[in-house]
Amino acid sequence: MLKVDSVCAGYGHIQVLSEVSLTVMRGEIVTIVGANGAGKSTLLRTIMGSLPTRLGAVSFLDQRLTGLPPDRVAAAGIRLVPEGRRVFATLSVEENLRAGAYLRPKAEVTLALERVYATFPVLGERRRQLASTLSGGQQQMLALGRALAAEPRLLMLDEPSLGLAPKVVEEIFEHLTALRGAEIGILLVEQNARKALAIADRAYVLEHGRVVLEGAARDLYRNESVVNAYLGGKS
Amino acid sequence: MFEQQVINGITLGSTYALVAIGYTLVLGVLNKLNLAHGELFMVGAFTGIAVARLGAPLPVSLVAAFAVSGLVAVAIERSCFYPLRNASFLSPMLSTIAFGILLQNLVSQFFGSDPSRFPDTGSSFQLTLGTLTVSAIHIVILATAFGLMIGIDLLIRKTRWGIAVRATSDDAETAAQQGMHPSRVTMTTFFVSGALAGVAGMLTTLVYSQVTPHIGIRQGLIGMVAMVIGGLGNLRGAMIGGLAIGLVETMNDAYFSAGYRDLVIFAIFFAFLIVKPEGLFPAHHSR
Repeated sequence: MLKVDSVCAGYGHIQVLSEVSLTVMRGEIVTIVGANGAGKSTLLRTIMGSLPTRLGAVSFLDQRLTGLPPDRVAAAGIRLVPEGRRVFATLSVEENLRAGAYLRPKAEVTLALERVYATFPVLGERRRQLASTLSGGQQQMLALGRALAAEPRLLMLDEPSLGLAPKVVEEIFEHLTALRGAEIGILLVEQNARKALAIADRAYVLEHGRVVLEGAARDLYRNESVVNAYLGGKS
Repeated sequence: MFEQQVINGITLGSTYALVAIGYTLVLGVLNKLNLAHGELFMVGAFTGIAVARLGAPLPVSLVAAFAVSGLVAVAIERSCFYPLRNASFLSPMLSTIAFGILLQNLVSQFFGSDPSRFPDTGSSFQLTLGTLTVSAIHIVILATAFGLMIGIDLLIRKTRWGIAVRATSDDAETAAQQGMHPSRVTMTTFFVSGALAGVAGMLTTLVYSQVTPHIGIRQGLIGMVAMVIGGLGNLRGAMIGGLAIGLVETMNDAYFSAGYRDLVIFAIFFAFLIVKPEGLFPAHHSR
């Protein structure tokens, strides 16, 4: 459903991504593994349209996304759970979810919110609270809930486990696994490569802005050089 | 006597509040100041006068001031802010000052720089409550200004548009990723901000019978002071800041000396900047 074809992107004079190509199929979890600064976040922001694509093309469900602004990319059915969560701190929990469901017809919004509350009961309990008063883990749930309130066709997550307690990380990965098999595609960027490879179908290894390795997640998990570079050597 | 001054102060303050709301809205979505904002007050005042001179009833003047100042505000956004969106924060300050001067000169061309006055409304109705007298004009001003304040508060807090404005103010990149169109949010915000200032200008012409094309300068400054005293980025704070300045001004005029009016107001402003720079009601921002 998502096709990234030889994309180059960066900031100012700095080229971060060099001819990155990848695909995500319907119902698939794809993960991007790589060291800090490899360009993982840049890639997600470029797909989202928040950073311009300098060369190459991005397409989604036969629609060309290259050069489209983020609101149009969102309208195509893609949502990003950004690095650092970036919930709307001055909005309540419910308003954050309504912001996520912004493009949906009015009649569907209530149902969308109920679904999110059913998935994350803690958000329902705190629906009137300001997002800034939530704990880090709850904010991550909210960022995920905000994306799901849009019922996206493709969900992209940028380091969802960053800075969270292991128990919370476990819970978030359970939610992602539960999403598998629906019509939704998932593109997951994660520093916790071991966890990401464990739930993913396929994986790409990004190094200095280039895809250096790709394959079934299972195979990469067993690949010695990947294990040494990103999984801390022991496996 | 004192009660009378309170009514007068709240009436005047409600027009300041409308101006302060506009500053706050624009500062929220763009994180930049519109230094031509006071001129939108002036444009509203003269639009109201022009329409009334054609013989239109008061509500028509109000709607005209609302619409014209709103559209001029959108023109300011498109010409002074949008083309400079990636420039230094100083650039739109300079471009809006230039736009403001342009508006002053334009209005002077049509109305002259001598004071203009709003045609006599012909209303001699007065409401008497004990020792208080409230004229029909005051009732119109209070009802319109408070109606608009409650309206904008509800719009911002309860509607889809309000969520988009607040989300964009909070984090523009993430808001766009939810499908909110940044330009549309900005333009509608400018329209509302200008429309409220325009109505404030139109209402003010009803009490201060004479206005010049240069009234926007003081109004703009007072609106900014109201916003800072109320608490930057807080809509209700801006409203309360406006009302407070109106009260201070009328009390000063009644019990002290009108000549010291601006001295008193700006002394309070500086006191706030030094002692309580976050204002009376700081916006609960990302902690």
